[in-house]
Amino acid sequence: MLEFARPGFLAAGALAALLPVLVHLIARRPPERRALPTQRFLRPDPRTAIRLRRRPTDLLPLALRMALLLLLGAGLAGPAWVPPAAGTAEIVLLDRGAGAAAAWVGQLVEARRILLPADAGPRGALVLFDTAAAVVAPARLRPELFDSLAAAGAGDAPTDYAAALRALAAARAAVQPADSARATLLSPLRWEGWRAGLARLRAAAWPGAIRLVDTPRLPPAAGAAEAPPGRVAILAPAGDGIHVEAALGALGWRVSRWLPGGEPPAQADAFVLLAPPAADAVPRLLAAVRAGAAALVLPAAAPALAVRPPWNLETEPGHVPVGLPVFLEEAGIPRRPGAGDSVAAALVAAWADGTPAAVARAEGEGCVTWVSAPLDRGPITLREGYPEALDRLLRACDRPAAGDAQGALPLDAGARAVLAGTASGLPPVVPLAGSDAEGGRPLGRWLLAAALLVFAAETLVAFRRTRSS
Amino acid sequence: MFLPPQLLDRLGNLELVARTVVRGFVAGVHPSALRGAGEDFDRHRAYQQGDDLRHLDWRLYGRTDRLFVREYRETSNLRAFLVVDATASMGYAEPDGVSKLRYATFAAAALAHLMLGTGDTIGLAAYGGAGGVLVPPRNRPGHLHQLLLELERLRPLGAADPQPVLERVGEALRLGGRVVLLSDLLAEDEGDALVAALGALRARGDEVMALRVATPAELGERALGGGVFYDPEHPERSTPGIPEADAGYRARVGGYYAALARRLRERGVEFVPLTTDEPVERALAGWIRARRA
Repeated sequence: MLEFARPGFLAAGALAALLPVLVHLIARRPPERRALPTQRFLRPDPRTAIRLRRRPTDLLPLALRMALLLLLGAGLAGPAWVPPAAGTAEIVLLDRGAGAAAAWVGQLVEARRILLPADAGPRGALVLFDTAAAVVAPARLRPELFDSLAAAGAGDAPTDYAAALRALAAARAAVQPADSARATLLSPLRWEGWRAGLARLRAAAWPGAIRLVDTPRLPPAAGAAEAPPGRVAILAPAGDGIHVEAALGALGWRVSRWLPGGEPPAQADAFVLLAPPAADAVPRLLAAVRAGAAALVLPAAAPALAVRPPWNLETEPGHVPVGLPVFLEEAGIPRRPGAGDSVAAALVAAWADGTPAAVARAEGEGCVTWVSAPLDRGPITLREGYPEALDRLLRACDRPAAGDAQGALPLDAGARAVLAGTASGLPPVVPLAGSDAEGGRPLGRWLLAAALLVFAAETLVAFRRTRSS
Repeated sequence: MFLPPQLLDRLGNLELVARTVVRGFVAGVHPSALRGAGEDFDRHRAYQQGDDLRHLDWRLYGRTDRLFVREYRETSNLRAFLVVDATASMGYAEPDGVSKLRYATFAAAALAHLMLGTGDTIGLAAYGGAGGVLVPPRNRPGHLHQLLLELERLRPLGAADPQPVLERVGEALRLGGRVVLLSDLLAEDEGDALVAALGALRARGDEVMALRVATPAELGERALGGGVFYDPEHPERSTPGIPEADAGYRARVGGYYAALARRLRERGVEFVPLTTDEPVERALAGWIRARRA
């Protein structure tokens, strides 16, 4: 449907288009010479030089001039093509990775309910993904398809949420000419599918929110039972570290304070270094770590340790970040520039662009985790997942190697917020067809361009006629 | 029902036109206004309302129970001339109309047919055209045909004064004749010479009638549109104008003819205005009816 924002211009253009008709009715040639015996009784009238014809002449210039005025009026009237309402199409991202085997039937039921509603035909597209994605067009969405998928079961490949996100563009094209689209992700939502830089891909792949549907989670991997919180000593000046102390205490850690310059507590299962330890305390600290303790080293304390923070490091293959990749991004934690010797370590946290944020390396029986950003101050300390993040960093070496589908851990709230898009305030429904949701597809510039062409044509025709006459 | 002049024109044969016209207006008008009442009995005719009761044949009524009047053959030897203006201005015609000359020939043919039928001797004169025409008055078999032939040959051309022709007509009529002028009466001198010539004929005892032929457009009764208008008799004179937009045009033309009519009537000349959009029969019948009144 064609709509005009300023219909007054359209009416004005239509009226103006009548003026050339009047002009073309006026005869410019010398008046007709005619006999009249009573001529001497007639008074001269100069208007005889102009006479009105019954039909307009020079039809081609007349048509061009009328077209020019009509196009100008229509172009200035703000025309827009507003397609008829075609509703919102559903796009379902269905996880077919090996880790979704237990949830496969439940996911299919939910997908069928979304894509094959009882009161209408297919109205969306299905994206099946694991490490690659395939888009099933709306025309192929039939009950038989879901039956065959149920019989086939989930696949053997691991899940890759990046593949699903990349397929959203094709799915978006498949559901046109709907007015808008809504995306739903059906997956157990685990870290196995997360990749470095996924947040950036997520922002580019889909301008709206993605509804995350909880499907049953996998049971914790065998042998991955977590040890109960123990005793943690926090090295910090007096008055600092209160957030770390509170967070770990909330999780059940028995927290003690260790002032700079003092000796590390003898009985501690973990250390959180918010300040550099005394030089003579480092050997005892490392001995405790090698005996089985964990050490979480924040940037202020890192230079004091003999081993430099391995920011420019080579990650061991197969390791993927576990925890905190965008948690840090959202909190606006400033990054520390990378420097230092390369040391083999596991990447346990990364920024959204893949820059290492935290690495962990086993030291004897224990573990040292270096974090590239201060976690003891700022708004990050008020986030809901803050205590869990600290706990996870303290247990970095305890986590099974990521990439093991059976040991996949669920995405935390931060990662879920990134996938869902709720953290960025994205709209739940995305307009399609490149049209303005409110105003339709503007056509004014095209009509004005056409008017320009007609003007050029009229000028050429008029010039040629002038020369020939 | 009267035929419009355009249809008369399509009849082609002027004799047929003349008979048609005469039949058309004689049926509604008693032609006695143009007839002479002579002494010699000519024939009986069925009585029509308005006939002179002195001419009723009572004897025939007694025999037939029907009223008849006696008609007498004209014995006064009335000599008449039809003078037709064949100058260029008479060639003017409106779109889809007949020219003034053509209209004048219809009227002249009808009058010749009528008047010859009543025993008058009719002559024909014309001025303008390719050359002057002068057919002496006669009433003999074939004379009507000759008159109609001359009328058919008339072509509007040039400019000419009517005075010389009227003088020759006067000489041919001797005394007590009838002159019927069919012309548009447009003259350069406001008609002074024409009025004088017609007045002279009237003054010596002739019956003079001026039948003015004009078109509705000339009289300002029909729109012409704009243009550069010229006088057919003087093509070098032209005026750009729009007659219907000229507020005084109609009044000026009407004023000219009104003044001319008044001057002619003052001299005893009968002025009869004819327009080319009026059926000839109706125009002549109206004229004759008015004469009788």
